[in-house]
Amino acid sequence: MENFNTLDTEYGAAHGTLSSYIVGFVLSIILTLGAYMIVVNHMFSNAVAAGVIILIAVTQQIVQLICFLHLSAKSHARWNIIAFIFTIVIILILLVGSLWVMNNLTGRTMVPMQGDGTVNVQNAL
Amino acid sequence: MNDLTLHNHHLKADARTVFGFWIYIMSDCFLFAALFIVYAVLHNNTFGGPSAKDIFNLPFVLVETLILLSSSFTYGLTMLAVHHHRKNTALILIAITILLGLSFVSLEINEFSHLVNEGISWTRSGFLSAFFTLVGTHALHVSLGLLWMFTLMIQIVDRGLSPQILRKLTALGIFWHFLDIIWIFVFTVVYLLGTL
Repeated sequence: MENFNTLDTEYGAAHGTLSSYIVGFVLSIILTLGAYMIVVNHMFSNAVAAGVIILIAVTQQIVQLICFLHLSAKSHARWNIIAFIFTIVIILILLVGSLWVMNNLTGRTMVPMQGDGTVNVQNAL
Repeated sequence: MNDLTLHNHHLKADARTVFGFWIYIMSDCFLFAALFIVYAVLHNNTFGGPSAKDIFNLPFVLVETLILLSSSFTYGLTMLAVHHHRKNTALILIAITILLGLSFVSLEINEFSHLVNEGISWTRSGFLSAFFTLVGTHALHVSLGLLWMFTLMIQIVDRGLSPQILRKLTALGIFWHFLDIIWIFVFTVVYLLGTL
């Protein structure tokens, strides 16, 4: 089974080392607990906290992509990273576009509703 | 064709399989992106029912998160053991990964049944429909991953470690680490931002 090593270099994005897994695991735990503490202890105002924990999530995503999925520009399978960047670009367009359009729509057309599903006509008019 | 070119040809085919699986994962990213967007649009539409703040139990979700993260780590260790041809170590590690995955799914089922028993189900409001669809789709992916992992474990016991099994384990590894990355965003967007 000496061809295992050749397989690793062919796959590019498939092979990891013990240290990369440990680094990824420890960093992920620290980032997860950090985001959790920020929310539980109300360390910032809500708007700042939201920005910080989203930043932490994106950081953790990058950590796991590098340490667990071994995505890098040096990867032999360079198409992996090109497909990934394409995916991220399309998702960002979808995300920003949808939220923009839907928030705009909600602001213009939202009719206040009551818990039983009926429309409060007085408020609506 | 001599042995070496045949061998190289086989490796190229394997690399293509893994790349093809990566493309599938990218399409799964779009599926989850759509569900996240639906959740982001609907998360305030509680229709007089409970909001995110009322129903989430953060310490419980933190335990779920750490369990799934550990399973991602033990799967990485499984791959290392496979690369070093340690069949028994690989089997023990894959069994630990399956146990961690099963605990994650059972905690998830526990959370869902708890909510539904209190009348907080997906029919209650737009927010809850979006919540159950997003988190449920993730839980379904994890369950299918566990089933796949179990079948690969049986194949290792049955046929030992081979380049074929390495190719399958590599694909499953991409799937498993990908699900952990999706969960980071579920944890952040749904649970942490919802409780803020």
